[in-house]
Amino acid sequence: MELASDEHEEGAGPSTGSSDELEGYKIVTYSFDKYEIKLKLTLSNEFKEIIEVKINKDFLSYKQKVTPSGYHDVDQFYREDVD
Amino acid sequence: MFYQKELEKVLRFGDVLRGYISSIPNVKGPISKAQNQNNDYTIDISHPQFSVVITPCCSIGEKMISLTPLIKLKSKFYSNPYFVEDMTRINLKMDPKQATPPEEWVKLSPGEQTRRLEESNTYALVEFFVYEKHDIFPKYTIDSKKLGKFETYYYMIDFRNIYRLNCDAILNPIQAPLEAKCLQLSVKTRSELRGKIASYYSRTPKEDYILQEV
Repeated sequence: MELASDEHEEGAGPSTGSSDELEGYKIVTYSFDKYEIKLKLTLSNEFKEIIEVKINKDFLSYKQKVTPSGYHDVDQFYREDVD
Repeated sequence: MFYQKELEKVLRFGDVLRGYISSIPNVKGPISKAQNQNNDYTIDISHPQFSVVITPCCSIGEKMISLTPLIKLKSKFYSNPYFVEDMTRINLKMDPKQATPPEEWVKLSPGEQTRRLEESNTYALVEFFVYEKHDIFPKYTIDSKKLGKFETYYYMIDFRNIYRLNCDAILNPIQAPLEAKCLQLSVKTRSELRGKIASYYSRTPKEDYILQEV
């Protein structure tokens, strides 16, 4: 399964944890299936370690957004007040 | 064939009836005795020309029945050429592009189009079921921005309008005032109505998908 597109960088340099450990590194969060994985990367994107794996409880993750609802949500196109 | 040619001497799910009233209770909010609030209520009584039986065939009886009035189509439905060709297509499963007016489809972002295409072949406008035109129905005027004014005989039901009616004469599907029965759906159409109303009640909200996943 491909990594979801809602990955984001938390920025280079120290933000959380030990500043010694994060000097010259960055933390990147990837959504993978129902998991959210925090990776430690060098500034040139080399993988160093997995910092955290947790269940992604984001209300509208990528996968949840594309989960078929079982019907076509088209009511907005047929409202009389927008005719 | 949308309607059965010969009416059976029995009340069936989807039958069109004449002569029954409709009632809608109105409140401002839940009545609270403690705070003496929202104690006012009204009940709107109307006499729709035609009502549709929504009680499943096997459950009709015990002096009660669930009905919903036949109402006019929304003019906006005519913004979709796929529906204009045959309004009863609203009753059936369709693909995402067929469900969307073309001018609205092209406005959607590629990502949103992809998301909608994931839905594949399923229902749209899930609250509605269109009744094919028939001679007994009075024609009325649709005022469509796209097509202008024209007359139609199509009617529909809205599942959100369903109400219960007590009627002493309805003892079971056979011992009932059958003189009120005007039209009966064909077996195929009745199955389509059953499928669509089941879908209306069986939709799972996205929040529940999430809970099932975690």
